[in-house]
Amino acid sequence: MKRGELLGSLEHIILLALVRLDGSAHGMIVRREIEQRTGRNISIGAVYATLERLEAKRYVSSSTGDPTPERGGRAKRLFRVEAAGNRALQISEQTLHSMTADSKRRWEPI
Amino acid sequence: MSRYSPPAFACRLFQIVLAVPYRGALLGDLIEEYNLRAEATSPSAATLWFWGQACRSIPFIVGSSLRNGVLRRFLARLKNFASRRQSDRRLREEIEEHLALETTETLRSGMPAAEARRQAILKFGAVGTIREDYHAEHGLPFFENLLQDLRFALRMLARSPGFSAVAILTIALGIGATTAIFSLFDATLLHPLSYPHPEQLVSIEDDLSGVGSRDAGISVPEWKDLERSGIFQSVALKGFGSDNLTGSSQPSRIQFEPVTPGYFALLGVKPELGRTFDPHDPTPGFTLDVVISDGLWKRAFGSDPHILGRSLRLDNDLYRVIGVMPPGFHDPGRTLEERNTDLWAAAGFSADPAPPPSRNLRLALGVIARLKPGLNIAAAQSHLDALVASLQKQFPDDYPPESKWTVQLTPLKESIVGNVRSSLLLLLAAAGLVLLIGCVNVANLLLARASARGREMAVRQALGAARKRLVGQLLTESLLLSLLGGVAGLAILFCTKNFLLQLVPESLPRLNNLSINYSVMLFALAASLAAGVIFGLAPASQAGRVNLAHALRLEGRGSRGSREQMRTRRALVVTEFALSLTLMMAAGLLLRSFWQLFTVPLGFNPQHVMAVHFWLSEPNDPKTDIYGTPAQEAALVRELLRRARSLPGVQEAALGRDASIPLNHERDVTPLILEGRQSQSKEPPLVERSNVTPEFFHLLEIPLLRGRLFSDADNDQAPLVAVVNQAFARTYWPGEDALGKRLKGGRLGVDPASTTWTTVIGIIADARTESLADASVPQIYLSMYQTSPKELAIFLRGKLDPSAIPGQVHEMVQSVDPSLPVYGAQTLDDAVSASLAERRFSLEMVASFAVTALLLAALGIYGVISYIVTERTHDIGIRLALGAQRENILLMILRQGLSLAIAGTAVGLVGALIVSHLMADLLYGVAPTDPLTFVAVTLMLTAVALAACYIPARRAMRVDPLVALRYE
Repeated sequence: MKRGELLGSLEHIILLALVRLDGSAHGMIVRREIEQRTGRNISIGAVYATLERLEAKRYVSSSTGDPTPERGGRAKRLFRVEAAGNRALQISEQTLHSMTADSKRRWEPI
Repeated sequence: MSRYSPPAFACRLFQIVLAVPYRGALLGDLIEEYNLRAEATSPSAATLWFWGQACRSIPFIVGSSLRNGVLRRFLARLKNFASRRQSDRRLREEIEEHLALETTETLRSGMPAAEARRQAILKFGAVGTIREDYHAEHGLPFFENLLQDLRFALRMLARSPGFSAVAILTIALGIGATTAIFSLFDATLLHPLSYPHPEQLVSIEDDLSGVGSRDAGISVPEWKDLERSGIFQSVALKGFGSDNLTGSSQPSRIQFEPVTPGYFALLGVKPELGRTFDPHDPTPGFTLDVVISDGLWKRAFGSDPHILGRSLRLDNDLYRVIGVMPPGFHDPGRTLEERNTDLWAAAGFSADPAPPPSRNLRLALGVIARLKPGLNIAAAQSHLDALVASLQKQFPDDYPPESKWTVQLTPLKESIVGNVRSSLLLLLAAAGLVLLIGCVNVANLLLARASARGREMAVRQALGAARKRLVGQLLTESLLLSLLGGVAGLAILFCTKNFLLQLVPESLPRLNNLSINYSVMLFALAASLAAGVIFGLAPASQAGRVNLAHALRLEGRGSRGSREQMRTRRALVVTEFALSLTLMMAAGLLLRSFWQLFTVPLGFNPQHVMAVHFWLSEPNDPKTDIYGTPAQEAALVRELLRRARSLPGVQEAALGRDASIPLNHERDVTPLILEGRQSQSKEPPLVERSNVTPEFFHLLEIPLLRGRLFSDADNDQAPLVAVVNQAFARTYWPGEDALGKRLKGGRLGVDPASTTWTTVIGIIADARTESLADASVPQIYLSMYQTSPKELAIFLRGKLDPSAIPGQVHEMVQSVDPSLPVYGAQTLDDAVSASLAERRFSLEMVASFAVTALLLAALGIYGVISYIVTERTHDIGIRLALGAQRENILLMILRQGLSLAIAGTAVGLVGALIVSHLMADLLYGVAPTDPLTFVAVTLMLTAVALAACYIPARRAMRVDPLVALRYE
């Protein structure tokens, strides 16, 4: 990602969730984290679709865990934030900061 | 496993749409959280949550699947499919290479060459299966199979051209008929009106049911109320009439409509040339501006490009053309005459020539309005009902409760085409039945052929063809047949289009030109596909249920049909008979209705009578009218009658207002005040009125029952007199003697107190001069010499030459006054016949469908019985050899056919009863359960069935036992 760009909103929020969860988690935890923090009831399909896109951009990587009975015998996939992902978050943050600095009072509620 | 199980169907949904790499992980996550939630809350809440997640995930997953491969894989498969020959060759080369390598290796171990190759092949596995699997994996098996099936089906069709031709023709007939009727349906009922936002357009009708008047018209104050009501964007009034047009290439009579200035703005149509009226024009009477139709522009003005601003005279009044409507524009009127309106003039309906407005003066014949956006018709109607109720309170004198004043909204389209819907639905249903019978017939043919092809199917199945593939192939064959049938049907339709168009009565309202457009083609395609599936199902469902061992054992001959197949075929024939009976019953009932109407005693004699229209101009300024008083007009009338009697062949002549022409559309409805009852209601009953000369009744042979008819002495000097029919006397003076009673007809809007009473001097017999279906329409006739109607018709009886009369009358009238246009000559026989046109059309259509159905059913039963006879030749031979009587054989076969026909008839009678009740409102003078029709149709159908069976039965009777026994 280049200077001055922003992550997509879902990508941003999911990357941030992964970072909060100590850099790695599986889809359900990410979903729950977002719901608990923001109250946004995001669908699991959206989480996975976004994670996949992030993986294609090499911002995250994933590895398969062991299947467990609670999961109907299905494997668990763990997603981890990569260095590129961290960097993308930094750039997004900088972009946001440079655009909002000094002008916050104009749109913040009085 | 956990104690809870997530909804299986939702899981399945995920399985289907998920083509993403992490499908397992995603589902696992969901199931894990589902279990947690089920434990924490309740399983049902968790299930709900699961479903919510599943549904909301779908768009994301589908999107990601598309990005991730489904599309890519499909494209790859498509590419392979396109280059399947090459890739197959590559695969074979590869396999060959592999085998060669293997063979060389085995050769080294000292095996002979042939054996080495055999070993290599054995080791490799079945080459054919591997190739199939490879293609299924990499290509598009569905399309490949389809192509293969299509090729095979084409070959099958070409191999039995007779069968194919019969099947295709049968389907073509059905599709052609259905599509033709559908195009009619499409043009009349399916198209929205061709004005912007047609759903907002409504027609408004004032009903005074208390005085027996529907659609009584509307008055100017009521119009203003509607405009102000807030229900409508705008409301427009229109009248309807015809006028003498002069100032064009030649004087003519044209249909014209006075409309309020907002009329065109309300419809939302723009003129082709010039402009339309200014909606805010406050002129109370006629403005001098007129808009003309494209037709009139071409016809009367030779498409003059400088037409705008040109002046023309209507009934001697000067007008100016300000606009020409586009070619496709038709007035949204209820009758053919209104739809063919040629000229629109803006009028406020509240000044000359209209009398001063009052609530009782219902001048405007039609009201159309555009609803406020977002207001549906039901809501608008309830607002309107409230308005009516408040007006009734406000003006109790004008709206007495006994007149039962109501105002009804109807969608404008409904008011134009609503009355033909049931006839058209009947036609469409009839055509659909023909198609269905055709399908059943083809299904029967296909089944017969399927039994001949049983061995082929058995062999293919024995060689490992999947049942799915066999069914697929049979369905492909039938779909090909039906599509070819559909194409042939459309082709027939295209070729006979002009002929068919002539059959359609002109009075049928059309919102669109009758044509074979895309939606009609689409309908034909859909009908063909449906037909193909319907008649393909029977043979396809039988395919693969063959007893292999049995079928293969039957050596080379075509196998006999299985018992089940025979049962299906019998059931099909029964269905066919049932459908035919239903259709024939409908046709029979329509025929009876038509005949009843056709032969109904008219009450007048239309033979050898012709009526010719001519008009006196009615200028807006009464002072310029040279025929303004009854005396002035009487002089003209007497002169015309005198000259008319001397025309060649004329024995009798009479004159009347054009409304007196039997069975035409002209109506002159007048409010009626009966002496001694005017205090009852301010809202007088409305009746049909005509003005005639004394000769009229004798000329039409309408008998006088009591009193006397008009004489020449009943002129403007004598007291006003009227002749009424029995229905009139019965309706208004029930149980009293109508003779000598007095009433006031008077002109609309004239204060009743100022006119004098008219005395009833004669009662004539009821005649069907208003409607063939109704003899008892109250009618009142006034003396021509006491009134001065403008719209006249001259009646002639004698040995007339219908082609010469129009010219002779024209010459005669113009020799008296050259400014009078003469037009529209017709024989009364034609008028009677024209009033039956729509019924005749339905009858002809349904009858031809019924005959087709009968033929198809006969063919069907013939086929099945022939087949039975062929099947049982051996058996019959044995019976004959054992001494059976030939007559008994004949009876045996006939009995078989008869049992089918009777079963079909029994089922059909039920269908016929349902259909006949549905079409009850299309019938006249015959009950939906008319026993004569039912018995006649049933007998006819049985007779046809017997005749169809007789041919094969005779063949059975003549079987030579020797030949038959050797046959095996």
